[in-house]
Amino acid sequence: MTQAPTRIALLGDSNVLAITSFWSDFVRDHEVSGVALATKYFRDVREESRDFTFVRHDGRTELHPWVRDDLAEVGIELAASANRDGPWLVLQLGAILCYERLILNFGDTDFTIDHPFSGNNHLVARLVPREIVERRVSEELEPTFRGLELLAGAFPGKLAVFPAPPPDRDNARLEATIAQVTGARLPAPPPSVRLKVQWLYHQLLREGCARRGLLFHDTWQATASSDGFIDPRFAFDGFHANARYGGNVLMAFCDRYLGAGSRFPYSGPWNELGETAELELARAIFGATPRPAPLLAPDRADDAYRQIDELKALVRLKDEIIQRLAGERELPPQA
Amino acid sequence: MSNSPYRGLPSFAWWKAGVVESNELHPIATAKFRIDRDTKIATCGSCFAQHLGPALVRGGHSYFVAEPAPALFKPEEARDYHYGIFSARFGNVYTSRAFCQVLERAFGVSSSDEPPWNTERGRVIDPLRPGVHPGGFSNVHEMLFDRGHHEASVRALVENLDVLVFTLGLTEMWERRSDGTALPACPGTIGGSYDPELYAFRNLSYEEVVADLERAVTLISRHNPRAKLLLSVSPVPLIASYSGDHVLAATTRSKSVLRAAAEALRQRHAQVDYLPAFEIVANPWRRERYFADDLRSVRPEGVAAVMRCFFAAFSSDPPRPDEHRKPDSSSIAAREDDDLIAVLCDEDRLREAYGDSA
Repeated sequence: MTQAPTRIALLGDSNVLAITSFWSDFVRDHEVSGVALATKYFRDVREESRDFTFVRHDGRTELHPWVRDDLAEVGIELAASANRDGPWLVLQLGAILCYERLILNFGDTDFTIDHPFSGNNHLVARLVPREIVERRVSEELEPTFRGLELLAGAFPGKLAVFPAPPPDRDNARLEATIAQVTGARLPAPPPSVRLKVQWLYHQLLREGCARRGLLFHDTWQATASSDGFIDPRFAFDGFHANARYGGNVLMAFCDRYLGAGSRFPYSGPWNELGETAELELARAIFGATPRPAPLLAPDRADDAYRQIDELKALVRLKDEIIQRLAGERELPPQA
Repeated sequence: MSNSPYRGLPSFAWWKAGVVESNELHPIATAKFRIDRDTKIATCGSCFAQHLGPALVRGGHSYFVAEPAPALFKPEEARDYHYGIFSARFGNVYTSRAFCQVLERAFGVSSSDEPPWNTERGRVIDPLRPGVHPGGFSNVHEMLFDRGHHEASVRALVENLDVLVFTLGLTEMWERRSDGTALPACPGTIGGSYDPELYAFRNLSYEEVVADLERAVTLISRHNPRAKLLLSVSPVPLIASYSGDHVLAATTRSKSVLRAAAEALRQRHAQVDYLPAFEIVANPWRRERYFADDLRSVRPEGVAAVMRCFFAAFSSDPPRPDEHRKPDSSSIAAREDDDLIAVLCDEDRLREAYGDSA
């Protein structure tokens, strides 16, 4: 008997790529849709906005009725799901938002916060009380929660939130990735700072989801080492987790909420999984994305295209990631 | 009429002309140095000195802050953590001994120290700056880390300032019996616990204050030969005295010693001058009422009078009468002074701890 497909849509930042990078068969079996690099735009969803454009992974576009959106505010890359009737919408939030808006913008002079990972302070760091950092992170999360509430109210299926993976301790690896994306050699904040801020963001996101009755699928502890940083088995380029991480968290999610674990583990080579999914993803997001000019005010269009260029740069980086994934042939740990 | 040395004295030398009939009290005969709007002016001292930084900014002059708040802080939060209140995050420095200790620790001349004070909530207070981190640090490591940054900032401050305004507040202080480390606050008030075996009360003598200030001047000059020091005495009375004397007598004793010591330094050193804040605010002869109802807090009018005197005497480009520069909104100087200006006083913790009788 053929089992009814489970429809899952994923939104998130580039770390979602880790989850989807081995999804080829899973996508086929479960009608899982494409992915958007969307976190930093997601936070700008406005209640008074109107329509929402989705870009299917097959390249077709459509307006989606259950999420309203002002493209000029949200950015055309927000939407990726084709499954407007899908029962699950999974959002992975945290990494880009946390890094770009908190760690880089506020942390250019370096800082540290106290508990829970005290110590290991960088020599040039400044001490900032946890209370102050918590206020800033909460302020950054406010629009994200407004967007989540909007989605939760409009989406007919189930909504789940994933956290971003724990940060990588390796600053050199992170700086190399930043250099590839931006073309500039920028120093990364001290690992302890990145860890503390991202951990705080994670905690507040989890607590905020709980207060709003939103499902938060907490994958942090299962993917972190005892020092709080990402388990080296899941580390990849300093910023993103690897496909093994994606398999781990997705299997755990499917096992717990979909009962799909028994159908899941993919036994094929990891590099094939990753390569197929990555290339499909790149084509889906950037190959057939319609130009947004008619929907954007002139002064917004340039910015939107600049953002697209940035995202394309990220996908180019993903090409290299795919090459490196070819070297990974281990099976994912069982959930 | 026979000749007399009093003949030809300037008007400020005569009580009637200089005090009774003057529109506003400017009790400085001749300033030793001049400042302009680019002169980097630093502040340090007692509660009253907290008024000076914002007043300098409002007057269009350069308030030099060597230890600004990290970007994550909003202005009101920064103030709570003592950022920008003085030119570095000293906390209140009430005594000449504490002032000297701040400088000597920053430049490695002294290693005076006191073990961290633990709070009931498991936090850690820096006994050398007990009020700067509300609630205390999470652990000793972070306390020492923050202190290290502060002391580096003090070094940068001293090496780069043009004028340091230091306001002397008290002669009464508490110290460690073992090595004489000056404690800005009595153990048991802001933090720590009082143990008479460990701590002793000291009421600094004139000779001791002069000696402290001499060491400070020597150290500052060694690291910044062009630096000027402008001493003043806070007009704010003691909130309590442990000397055994009536608090009014003790206040008079403290202020007298400080005023005399400041004068001694002014006379000995070309780079040291005196700003008569005490004379302007606390004098009993003029009819201005510069103290609030508690007879301690200085009204904004009093601060403004001191600053007008400061600018008139020292500035080659004083603010115009209609000039009231609106500070950057991100600065604590943006706080307007229409109401009584709030200051963060460690001394007030005594009143908080012991109620109205204090």
